[in-house]
Amino acid sequence: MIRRSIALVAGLLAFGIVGAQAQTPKILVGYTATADFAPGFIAVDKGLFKKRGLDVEFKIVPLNSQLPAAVQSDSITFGGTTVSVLLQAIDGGLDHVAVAGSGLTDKNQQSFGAVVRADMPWVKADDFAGKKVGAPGIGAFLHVLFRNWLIDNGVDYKKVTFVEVGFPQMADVLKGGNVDAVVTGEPVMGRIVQAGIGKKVTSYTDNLKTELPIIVYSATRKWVTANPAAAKAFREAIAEGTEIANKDHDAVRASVGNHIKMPPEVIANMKLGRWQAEVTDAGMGAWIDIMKRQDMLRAPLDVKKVIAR
Amino acid sequence: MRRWRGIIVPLVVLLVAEITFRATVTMSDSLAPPSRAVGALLGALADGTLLANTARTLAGMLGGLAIGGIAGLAAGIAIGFSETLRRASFLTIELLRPIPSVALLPLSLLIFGFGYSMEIAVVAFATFWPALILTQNAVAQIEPRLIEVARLMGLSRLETAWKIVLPAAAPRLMTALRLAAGLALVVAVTAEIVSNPQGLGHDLMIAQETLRPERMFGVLLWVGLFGWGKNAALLRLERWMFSHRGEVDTSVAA
Repeated sequence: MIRRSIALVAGLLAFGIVGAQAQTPKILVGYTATADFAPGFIAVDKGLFKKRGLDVEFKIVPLNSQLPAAVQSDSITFGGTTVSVLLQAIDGGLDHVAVAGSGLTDKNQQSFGAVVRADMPWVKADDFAGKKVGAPGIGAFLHVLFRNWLIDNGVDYKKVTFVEVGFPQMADVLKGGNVDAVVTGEPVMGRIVQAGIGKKVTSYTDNLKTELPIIVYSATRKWVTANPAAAKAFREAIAEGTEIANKDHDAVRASVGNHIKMPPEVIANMKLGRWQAEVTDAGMGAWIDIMKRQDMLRAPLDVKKVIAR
Repeated sequence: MRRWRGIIVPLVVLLVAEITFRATVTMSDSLAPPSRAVGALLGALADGTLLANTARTLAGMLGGLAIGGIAGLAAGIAIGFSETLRRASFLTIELLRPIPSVALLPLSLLIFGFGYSMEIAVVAFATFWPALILTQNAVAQIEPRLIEVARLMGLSRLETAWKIVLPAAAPRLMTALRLAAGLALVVAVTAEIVSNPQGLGHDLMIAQETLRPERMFGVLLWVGLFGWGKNAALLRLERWMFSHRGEVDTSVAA
């Protein structure tokens, strides 16, 4: 009797293992509450992953900087990391690669910028020297790019005091006078300006020589090497989602609403950016240079090794 | 009437907050008046999301409490019994005990990834130390004659622990459990706020990130009610178990 039970359990286990192998492995994607992920959201909502045989689930996490650790521990397959977070993780020793791109920025973008207090006189970049500026993450995308703009405008960024302020608190701290300015993005930026609490003085991208990826989908090199077909299909689905997102902003707002539970009026009024599925050598190389001149990377990074083709 | 007197202060605080908000705040993405917070709380309760998240936090909290509590209890009894063990472990305990459990969150995320394991590990670490110290003290305070009797009866150490030590120290251990449970809730919610995307802490954090302060304050209110309910239930259990012995220490609030 016992022997028969063991045989039955062993049989069930073997069947389970074989069965599990035959199925497509589930792909979990960690993301943060920003419209930069719109093509991915559209790909989920319109079944673009499913039609390529991928079982993809998007999972919201509060902080972008946690994503590399979550990818490394196999909790998620892809992290929707900002490029600065990814490059710092790689520089720190994690063998991760960018598989597909998402949000993109250029010198004409309107979806983020620096906002000063409404009553603060502001004329030129140098006026930020000696001021206190709130940034949503020290060493994160908006902060690093703003420091890059200060350098290009001949301002020593060490003369600016940066403090970490979460997006939701920005309007309150600016109004209360705790900071003189914030570097922020949509939809918070639009709300601050609309309420008359602050005025946008620069998009701080006029100095950029090339288009920069904001968010990339990154995974471990080990996963990408072991699952080349899945990685390719994932990239293709994101590319199709990107095509829709760049053309159809109604689809973007609908999918953002499905995946980020923001109040509907906030989603309806937010300014949208652009998206690009391909991660280019030029874009990634520009990021490496931007971070190097701010002493954020210890070792030289090879662009070719950071992007999975 | 006297029973309801305690509710006056929180009600007045909420009323003042409501009036102040309506009078002074025109636009805020991080603040909401209590009336909207209560509305959001009721909505979240009605659609089931809050209860599902409560169950996840409760599972993380109880899992960690069970592991940390039982391990602390066993280690506390062993150390309480043996002077040699106490001396040998003293330095290790005093070095490890002050480490704030939430400082282990990045490490825990890297080892376990998202999910129950990382939360349970951190809660277990946090609750192990109070369980160990309080058990050790409870064992030390047992009437020495009881141990003497056990020795005369020829009971083994395990039998002495089970038949003499545990019943004699039970009321103090129950207080330890109540304290550890309070800590477990704090650590579980903190782990969810900082790094684990599930449960009440995550709900609270995402509500804040997605510009829904009314939901954030609603969840905050719920965490408070949940903690109060948990403590009241444990206190009632403690009274029911030990009231005949007159040994319930209600002065210690978890």
